[in-house]
Amino acid sequence: MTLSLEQVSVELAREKILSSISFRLEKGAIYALIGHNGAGKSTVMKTIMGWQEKKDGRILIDEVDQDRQFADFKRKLSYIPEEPFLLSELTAMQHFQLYGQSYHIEEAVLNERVKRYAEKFEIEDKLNEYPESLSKGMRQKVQTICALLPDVPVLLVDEPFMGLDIYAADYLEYLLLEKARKGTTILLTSHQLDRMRQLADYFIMLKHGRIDQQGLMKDFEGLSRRFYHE
Amino acid sequence: MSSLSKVYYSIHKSRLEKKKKLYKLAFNMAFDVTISIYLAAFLIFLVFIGLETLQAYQSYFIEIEVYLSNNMEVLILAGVGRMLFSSFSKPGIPYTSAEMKLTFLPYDNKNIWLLSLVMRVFKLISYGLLGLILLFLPLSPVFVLKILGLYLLIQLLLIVPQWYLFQIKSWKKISIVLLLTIVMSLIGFSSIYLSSSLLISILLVGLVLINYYLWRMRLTNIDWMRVVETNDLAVWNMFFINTMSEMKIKPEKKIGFLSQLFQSEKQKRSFPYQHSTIIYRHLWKSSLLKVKDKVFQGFGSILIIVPVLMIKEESLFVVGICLSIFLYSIVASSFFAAGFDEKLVHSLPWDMDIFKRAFLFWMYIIGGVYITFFGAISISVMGAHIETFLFIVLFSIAGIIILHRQINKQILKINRAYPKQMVLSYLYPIILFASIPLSIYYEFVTYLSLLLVVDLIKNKGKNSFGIVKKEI
Repeated sequence: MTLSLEQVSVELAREKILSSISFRLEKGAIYALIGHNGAGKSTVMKTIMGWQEKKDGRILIDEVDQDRQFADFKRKLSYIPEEPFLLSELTAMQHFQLYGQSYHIEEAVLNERVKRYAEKFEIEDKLNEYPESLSKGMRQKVQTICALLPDVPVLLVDEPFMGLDIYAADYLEYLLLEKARKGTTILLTSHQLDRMRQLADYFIMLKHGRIDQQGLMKDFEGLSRRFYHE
Repeated sequence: MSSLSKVYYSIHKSRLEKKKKLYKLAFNMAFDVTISIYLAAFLIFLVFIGLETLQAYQSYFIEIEVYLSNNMEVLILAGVGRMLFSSFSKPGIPYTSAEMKLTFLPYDNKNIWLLSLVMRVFKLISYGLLGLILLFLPLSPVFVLKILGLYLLIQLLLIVPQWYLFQIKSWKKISIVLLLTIVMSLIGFSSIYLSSSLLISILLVGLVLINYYLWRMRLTNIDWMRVVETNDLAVWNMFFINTMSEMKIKPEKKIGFLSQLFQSEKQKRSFPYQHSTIIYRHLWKSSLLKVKDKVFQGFGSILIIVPVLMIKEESLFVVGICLSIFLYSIVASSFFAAGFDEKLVHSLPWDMDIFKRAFLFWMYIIGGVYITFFGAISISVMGAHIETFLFIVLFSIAGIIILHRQINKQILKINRAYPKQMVLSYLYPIILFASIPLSIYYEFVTYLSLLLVVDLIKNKGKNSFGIVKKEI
């Protein structure tokens, strides 16, 4: 199962945000999407999710085209956003149920996963709370669990460690590696280079909405100093 | 204070420049020179037509002038009423995040607030000056100036009360609104016995005293974050820019007072997982409640179509029913599509069958109100016969079918699937709409239409009411 972007361009108010981006992600690998602020990382994520209209290009998960089979395409994706977007009307547990229903997860499986994740992320006593009564970090945890519940081929992860305490961030790191080991392809953005080095197999570097470089993450070591000082 | 005034002024100047730049960008995107010339010519033409039309209604304006000249207190009461309702959603003083950031600098918040108040006063005065445009109406200039002066005075006197009311808890606010409504009704009633000028004096003195009392509390127990969020939204939510940039600025969704009332422990319980539509029904309920004003406006205005047409000609009620069914399906399908704008909903894979079933649950409730209302009208016009009941059954089923059809169309659009439609799919709604009025005059049309409906329902799975069903 692979995610591929073919010549994807995005424009906002006649300004090019992404220019003919192309890449192909292999099954079970973790890809770090790297770039300065405003390089277009979040736009790539939003475009894959279908929130941002493309001007040109195609996005496919295997043969499923985002433009032609949007519903099928979305079933193969899950997303951890930079900022949680929970509904004020649903409790944490009701959010998990909504995700469970939407991804057709069996009740017993869902309950088992919720129990495990809630315990590890230390939110087991917050399951019946509404988002407004949760701290920002707690909301981030709820949103993260939501996205981790389904077994999907592609997982998009946008700045997942921001707002998480060190234990939760470590556990998330473990979960992402575990997911990849089971065959999930992960596209990850983060400014925490140390974590990216531990997690990612490959990197894709964006600069001014274009792919500047891509390759093995271990090769990025040598580039990192240049990347941050250029 | 002078340094603060300079900073404050420069912030507002920069804000205006930024807005100007945004509007310029949006205008450049929307209009080219040719369109602008045509539009300008059209607007000039429109102004002339407008002025001519106003002259035609001169007698109306004279009536209004005579009434308001004798009952100026009505304006004050209307102003107070408007402020009371505004205070639920607007603080009335433009204290935004920019002002809040100034408090991080060595400036006194009291002075920053005062400058915001002055800004509001300036705005009101400029609105008042803009109101001079009323001089073009067929009204006496003295009357217009009197009205504008009074309007300005009331608005100035209502700034602080609105600021205070915005801060207090909803139940307290509702109590005050109810109390003031009663007081205002009593004042309105007493206008029979008291002269208008005396009433105006009483009201103005009352407002001045309220201002004097509330001024001491202007900066106590203030929910600054709420004030800032509300004002930021008002400042930056520019309709034209949003439309052109296709970006929607939405307020951060918070649980409103009404929702809080219903957030019992029961509400917090997990959903019965096996009953898949319940969670989606809940989702739709929240989605519709968030835009309850639009829901009431959209569906409510449909209800008045039939009575309005019947004023013109009683037999037009059938046309009204057809029109209502069509608009009901359009409005409902718009709300259905709007529900998918929610980021969380958008990020989920959509099981459209469940989404649709859950949505229809609420639409059938609204549809039930229509059927009862239009049914009652039909019986009152046609009499309580079997034909009337068949007619009600016919338009009810037609409504359901058209509703399904519109929602299916939206589903395909949301899923970015655009299958070819069968020629018959265009004919179904036309046939159904034509059959409703015809069934009144030709009984056999009712039976034929009902047979068609039965056939449509039987083949629903195959063609989804005229639209080729695609696996979505």
